[in-house]
Amino acid sequence: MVTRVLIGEFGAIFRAGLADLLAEAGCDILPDDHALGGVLEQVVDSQPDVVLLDLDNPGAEEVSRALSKMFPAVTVIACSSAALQMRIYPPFHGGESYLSQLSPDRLVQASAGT
Amino acid sequence: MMGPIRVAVFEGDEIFRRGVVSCLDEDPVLEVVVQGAAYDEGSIDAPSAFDVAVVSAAALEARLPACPLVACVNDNVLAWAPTGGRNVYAILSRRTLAAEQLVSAVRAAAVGLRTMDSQALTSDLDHRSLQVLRMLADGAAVREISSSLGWSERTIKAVIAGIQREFQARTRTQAVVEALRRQLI
Repeated sequence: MVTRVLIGEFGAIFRAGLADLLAEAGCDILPDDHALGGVLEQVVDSQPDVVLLDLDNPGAEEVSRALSKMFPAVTVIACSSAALQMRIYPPFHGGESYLSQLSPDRLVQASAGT
Repeated sequence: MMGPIRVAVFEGDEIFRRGVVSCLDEDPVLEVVVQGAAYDEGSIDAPSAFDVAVVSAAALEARLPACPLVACVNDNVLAWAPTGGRNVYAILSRRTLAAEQLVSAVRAAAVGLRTMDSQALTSDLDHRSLQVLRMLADGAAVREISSSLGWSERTIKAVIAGIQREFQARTRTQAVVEALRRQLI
């Protein structure tokens, strides 16, 4: 089954890199539809398997935890392009998370589960 | 412009590098011919293998090709990235840079034009702070600045305190020097 990924608000260039990397790994990148409003509305509408958020945005960890609790089946990954780290909220873990180094391989592994 | 503009991308963050390459590839005139974490003279056949290089701030510290460079840097160094005497034609914010801006900056650099990020021009200082800084640099006292700009001395002092906070400067002189160094005035 193809992994469906929703990419939240990031810097445009880093976002393009994430989309390119995950598309190459076989993921389906869902269109970023700002008309729907915030990331919550987009998750409700597009029902992704994975949501990527920018860990460098203020409040990103709270949003990630909340999303992970509200949508237990979704993997939430908050990536920091500044610190090259990511906080992963695995599915069905009630908002628990762990920190990992952000590298292309690790991100693909965490997203596509390969 | 005759033929494609050949672009090299030297960037340590692989995800950001992919983003740069995919944005540049969208443009019909640009062709990414070399990419990697850093510039390695040995691995490149001829110095004229590319027309423009897009590089990171870390790459700016290292040995670089002689062609026009477009640098993508973090916001904290946006205003003072080292450009003096170097062939850096644009300094852009990694965080806020849009694909069209990157493409425009690379195309401009290829024909010898420099591009300035408007954020780098103003830093976090507003127009009023810059006016005050310019007058301080000219040797004006608070009272003179006050009467010239038509604001109270109290306001001028508050503006100066704000500038010193922004620059983490202990004295007014240090703030003026910092503004000059960042080419804000």
